[in-house]
Amino acid sequence: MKIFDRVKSALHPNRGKQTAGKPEEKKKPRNIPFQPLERSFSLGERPIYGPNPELEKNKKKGQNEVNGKQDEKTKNGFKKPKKPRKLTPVEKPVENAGIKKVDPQRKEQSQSLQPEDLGPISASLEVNLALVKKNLHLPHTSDIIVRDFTIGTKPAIRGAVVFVEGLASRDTINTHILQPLMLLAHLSPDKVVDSPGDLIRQHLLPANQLETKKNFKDAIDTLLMGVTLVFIDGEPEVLVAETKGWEHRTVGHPTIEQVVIGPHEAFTELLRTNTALIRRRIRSPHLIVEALKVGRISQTDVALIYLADITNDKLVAEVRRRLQNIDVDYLSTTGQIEQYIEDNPFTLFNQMTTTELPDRAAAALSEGQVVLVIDGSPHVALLPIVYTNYFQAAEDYYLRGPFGSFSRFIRGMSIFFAIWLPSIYVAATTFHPEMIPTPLMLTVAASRENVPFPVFFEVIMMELALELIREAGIRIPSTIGPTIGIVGALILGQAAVAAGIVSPILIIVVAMTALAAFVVPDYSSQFAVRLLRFPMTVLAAMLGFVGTAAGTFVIATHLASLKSFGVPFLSPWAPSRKGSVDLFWRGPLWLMERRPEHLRTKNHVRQAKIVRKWALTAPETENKPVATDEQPDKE
Amino acid sequence: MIADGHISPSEAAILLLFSITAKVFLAFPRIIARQAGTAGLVSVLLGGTIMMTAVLFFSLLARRFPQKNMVDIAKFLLGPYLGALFVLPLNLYFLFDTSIVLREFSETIATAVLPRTPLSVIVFLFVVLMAYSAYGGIEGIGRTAIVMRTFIVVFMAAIILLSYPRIVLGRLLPIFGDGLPSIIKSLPVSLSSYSEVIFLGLILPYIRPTRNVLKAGLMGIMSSALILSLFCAISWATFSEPLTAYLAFPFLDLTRLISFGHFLQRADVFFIFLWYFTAALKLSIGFYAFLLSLAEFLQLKGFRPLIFISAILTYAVSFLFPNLITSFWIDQMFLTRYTFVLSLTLPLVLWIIALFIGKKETQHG
Repeated sequence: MKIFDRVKSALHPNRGKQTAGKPEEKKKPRNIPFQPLERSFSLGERPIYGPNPELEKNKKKGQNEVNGKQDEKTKNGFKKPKKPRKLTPVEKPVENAGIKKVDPQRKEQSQSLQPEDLGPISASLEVNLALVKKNLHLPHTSDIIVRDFTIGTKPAIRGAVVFVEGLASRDTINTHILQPLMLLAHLSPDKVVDSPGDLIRQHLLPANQLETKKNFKDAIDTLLMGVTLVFIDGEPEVLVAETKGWEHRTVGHPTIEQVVIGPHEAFTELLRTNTALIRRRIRSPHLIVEALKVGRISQTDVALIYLADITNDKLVAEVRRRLQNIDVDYLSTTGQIEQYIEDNPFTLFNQMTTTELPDRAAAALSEGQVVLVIDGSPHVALLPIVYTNYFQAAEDYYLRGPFGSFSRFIRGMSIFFAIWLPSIYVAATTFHPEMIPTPLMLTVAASRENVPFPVFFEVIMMELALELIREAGIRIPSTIGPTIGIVGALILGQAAVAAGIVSPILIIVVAMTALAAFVVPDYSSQFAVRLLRFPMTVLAAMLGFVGTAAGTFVIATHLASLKSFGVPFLSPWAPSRKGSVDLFWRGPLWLMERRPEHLRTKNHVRQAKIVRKWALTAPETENKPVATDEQPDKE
Repeated sequence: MIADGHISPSEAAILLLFSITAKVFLAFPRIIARQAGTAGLVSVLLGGTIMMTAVLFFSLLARRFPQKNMVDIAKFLLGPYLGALFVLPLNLYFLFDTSIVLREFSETIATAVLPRTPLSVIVFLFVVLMAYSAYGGIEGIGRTAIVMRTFIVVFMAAIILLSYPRIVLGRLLPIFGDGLPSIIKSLPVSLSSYSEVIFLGLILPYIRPTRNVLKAGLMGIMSSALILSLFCAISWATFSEPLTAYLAFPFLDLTRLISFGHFLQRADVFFIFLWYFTAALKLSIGFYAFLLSLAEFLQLKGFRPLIFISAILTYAVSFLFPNLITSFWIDQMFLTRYTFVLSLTLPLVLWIIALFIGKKETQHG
């Protein structure tokens, strides 16, 4: 072998050297064909509730998913571990699942929060019910129901159902569990079955999802999700029947992201409804809805959704890794999960966004983003995001190109106004009055004649007053909201000017700033835009335009080094990617042939080179006058 | 090599462009006008052409020693101690270049817009900006440069368009000035105006793919030559070359002249943004290069621990000169006259040593 290697290296002196560093990266084809992922499952194959096989596997191995260690022993036994592409600096192998040092005392406390292993289920019904009552604090808890009964088989068997009132559907339990077992059991065929459990599972219990659990802790965990446990005397296992059916809000209108043209339905608090809303829009077999659990006591269900044939595997693995390594006791909303998994927690800029529009989530998935649905939250997280999120809205694509582009221009301008207008006003009036044209300067000076405060103080005062109105507007009950709004606007606008406390021109500046901040289509992105004007104003008051320029440079530098799940925040602008027709300029839909480069999708091509194929063929009826209705562009 | 991110060849070219052309907002048009007269344009372009040889040697070195910057190469060839000595001129160059530019830009801003603000405040703000920017590493600086490029192109286009009414192209003639002697006499100055090209040697391993180092360097030098000569030409065509030779900051005066109808007058304040962004970027690049070379000299694995102390050092050095005139004088006597020796000889010497010793990179780092 050695001789062979030497001959080979003599023939190709550079080959070994150039590829010595990362041989796999070079050989790896760019478009990886889709391979069904064994570790994931889609909706319908398996309920989202219940232990995650991936999580369990990792727990047993004591390994971290992204370490790539699980690749070490593949089927052929010799495959080297894949080197993960550098998505983030965080992606480096983390020992001990991200937690380096744990205070022993704290570790004890954290373990005591988790219910201890209660052992296997006993064959005796009495023992099982006693265990249930003991572990669920039964005389003190009112919403857990234990109903024991006799199953009408011959000979009769004793059984009991346990469920949580309110979480489990009363009708389902009555008609599909108790009725068949108690009243219709005698209709069972006289077949020889191994055990009463098998008889009940095979013939008597018409539940559409039925599982068997042998471990007590597993049974209790699933009980708290709304299923019904059916204990049978003499069986060392419990039947878990799917009976989830709690009260929830139906699919309604969006409250924050209102659209004029486009779908008007919004996500609800129910995870399963939300995943179905997405699935209804993407009927691809490659849509994967992975189930994860976060939170020690809340045990919140999180669905990690992506398209297996499009989304970058490294991105999915990284998101999964971060979610699995959140060690927190209670977590309920998208906003909380965002704070636990974002790259940079010390920035004003959000690194993932939330939406309540299923169409927006579906569009994000089709581009190669990852979607997180959190049970109990009507806002769904989209990640990673880049700066375009600040001025692009779902509606842009439902309108024709030029209108979408114009809206984006207006939004871009608004962001500029919202961040820089107060600081420009302060700088120009305080430091550089010579740059203002004389007539305008005279007007400004005249309006400020009676104002006793310096411009900076005036601006900050009015901006804070405006934030006051905004904050109060959210808290005031909707019935008296408009009244209070008018009062606030009158007092702060008209009366303040009449009293000579602020100048009318400043009111215009502040009003424009306020309106501009709300133009940002993405609600979670509005905060950065709204807050940045304060430091900018302070800098302008200190150093004029020099301060403004310095602030702008800091913002640019900060954004340039910011990353959202490994994707540079300013891409595709910096670092420059291939030209896209969908940045500030909303180009024609038929030109959007490729998916965003920065998401590094497995499949770059979004649509055919020629989308409007009908334009190439002649109309069928050439002689007859054809109706001039052109077909709309389809993506 | 000190581990940092990766940049594309175009980002490297933009970094070179910014670090070379920032001086056009300072005394550069004046110095060239004094040295070469109207032949300055030819001299600047010729200087750029000659300086391309340095880029050539850098690319040859990068090909021979991938994953190494010029300091690593020097250490690899000459051993740790001689190699470290090799870094010293680089250190001093970047420290003094950054400090003097810091001082000059701060003085310009103080003169132009903030005459009553203490100079130390302006210098301090610059130091904070460049430290923050350098903390982001080469990726952060490269991306900031791309973002700033957009603004700067817009501002520069605005300057060219708005000063067009005052431009008399005849003022650029005769294009060869006093002939060959004046061009040769001014060559050290015009060559030294590209001496920042040595920055390329420090970021060699960060440019991906490595084979595009030549492309990056050539793009950077050519676009810099274009912009330097373009802006010298504009300022001479507006003020005429003899007058430019007596203006402290020709560019400042150029923007002061801009007026557009009755509405847009005294627009020079707007161009503060242009100066400020260019200056901050140039300083960030210089400061980063200083940090990198210092970390190499001290054999550290990262440059970030040095940021705080180096920022203080840069601040202090920029105040070594008692006044603006002294800093100008030192700049003109040394930095803008002799630094080309450093940028031309270092890569050449390294390459010759590499040829002579015959060592070649055998393993990837």
